[in-house]
Amino acid sequence: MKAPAKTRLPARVAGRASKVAWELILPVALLLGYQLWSASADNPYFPTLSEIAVAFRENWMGQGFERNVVPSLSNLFRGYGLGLLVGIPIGVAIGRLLVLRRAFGPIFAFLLAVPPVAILPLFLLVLGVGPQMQIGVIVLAVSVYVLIATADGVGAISPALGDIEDVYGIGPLRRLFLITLPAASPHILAAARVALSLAVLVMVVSEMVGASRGIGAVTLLAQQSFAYSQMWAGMVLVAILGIGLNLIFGWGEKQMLRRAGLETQLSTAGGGN
Amino acid sequence: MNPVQDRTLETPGKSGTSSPEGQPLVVVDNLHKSYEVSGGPNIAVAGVGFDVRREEVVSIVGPSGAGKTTVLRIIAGLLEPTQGQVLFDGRPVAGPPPDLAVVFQDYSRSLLPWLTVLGNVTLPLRSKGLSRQEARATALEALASVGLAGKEKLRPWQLSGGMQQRVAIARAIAYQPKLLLMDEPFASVDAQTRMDLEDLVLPLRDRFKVTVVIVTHDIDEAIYLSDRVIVLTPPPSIVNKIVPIDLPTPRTQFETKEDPEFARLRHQVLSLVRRPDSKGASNE
Repeated sequence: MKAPAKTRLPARVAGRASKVAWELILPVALLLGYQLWSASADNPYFPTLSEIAVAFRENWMGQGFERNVVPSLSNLFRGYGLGLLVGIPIGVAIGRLLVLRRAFGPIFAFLLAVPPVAILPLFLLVLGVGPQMQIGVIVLAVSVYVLIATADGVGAISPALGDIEDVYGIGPLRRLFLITLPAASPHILAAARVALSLAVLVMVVSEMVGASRGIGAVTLLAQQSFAYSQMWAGMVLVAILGIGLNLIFGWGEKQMLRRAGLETQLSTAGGGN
Repeated sequence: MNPVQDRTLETPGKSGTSSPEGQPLVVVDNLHKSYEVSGGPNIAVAGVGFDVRREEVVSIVGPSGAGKTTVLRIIAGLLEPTQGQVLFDGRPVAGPPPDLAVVFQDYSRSLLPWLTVLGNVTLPLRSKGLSRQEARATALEALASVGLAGKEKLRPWQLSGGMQQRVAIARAIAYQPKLLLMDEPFASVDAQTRMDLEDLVLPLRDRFKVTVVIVTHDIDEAIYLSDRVIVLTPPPSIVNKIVPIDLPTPRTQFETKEDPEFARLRHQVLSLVRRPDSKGASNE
């Protein structure tokens, strides 16, 4: 009994380590190659990694963090949160009522087809330059996306659950919080995750066109003033932000679905416990 | 002897309603149901009628596609008939009546994986207006009665298929219905588990004084569990024959199924299902 357990754990760790190693080979090789090439090429558009690192520290740490990263993140999270608050309830209502789904379907199909960035000029016109405009565009982008996915998720709930609700006379609040929302949660969470990336995108673009502070504004300004290391540092920060938020969200999503017993429905690979 | 009538006499006024005890709990009256498909209506049920007496166990069997589940869903108020009506406790059914519970075939879809076993059983009770404590006590009693004492804190998906179906049965029983409908309740479990679950039904009926209607494709199961078996014809379905089952009680997997009378009934019902025109080969 004990012997195989003893050999299995290190084997599993070794397996995971080799998997991570394989995944790291290409990115590390690319970075190394870039460093060697940029050092020898001496092309101002492509600064070396160390130059980018220096610019990163100057621009985004300490005072730069407070001045430019904090407002960006604040707009991002306020817009994202508000977008979820608008999108999920309307999505549930539309998903539950076939009439609403029919009536609103074409409008949402249209809104989904229009890239949120394309609506920026209108928002600039109406709300002017400033956080209201940036938050507004993020709210629109997030809420439309989440709304449609929520409506789909609620519409796709197994009719068997509807039978249970009807037979046992489950009241509207219990229906909503104990049946509808948990049942649609895989759809809602998946959409919320995509919407988070969308929110980062919209945040950066909105700052590029209509702000003097924030990650996007600083990055574009750096490009326009020939500070290419700082431009690269901006791109690196956005990448880190995107990856970090996605990892955190993915982890939280997995925990929630596991606790809800819904994990198996998403990953057929399974083998969880 | 007729066990059904004996039981009815034993429990006068137990149900506590104004309706007379002699009156059937369910009257299924000339049900028709057709579905619109491309190329005209598809008639599933074409005038099904029968009564279900109080505290009786009745099975509905028939060839595949005979609208058994359709009839059950109409009785449950989940489906509207094209024509005809169902009287439940003297009142026409329009939507699921409050004194009715259903056990569906697919436990994996009808239980909520994000709630515990206890949460699944108490949810309908809380909706019914029971306090948290009352709901909990009732649910624990129902879980114990189906052999799931001590499992209340687990999630449904941590249990075997048979145990999950027991949770669904406990949920139905805890709801304290007058009528328990079961739609192919044991079709998704293995043969051994199936026998265990079958042997759960009759004691529950006796203990909770509930009337049971079971839809099944399993002839043996129908005879084993029922006081009467209703055999439907192929679609468009009507009642082919109602076969009374006068097997002694309590029924057991060995004695009852080895009883020559069981074999005779099996032959009769099976031939009604397989060859609907024969009108039951060994009839009477």
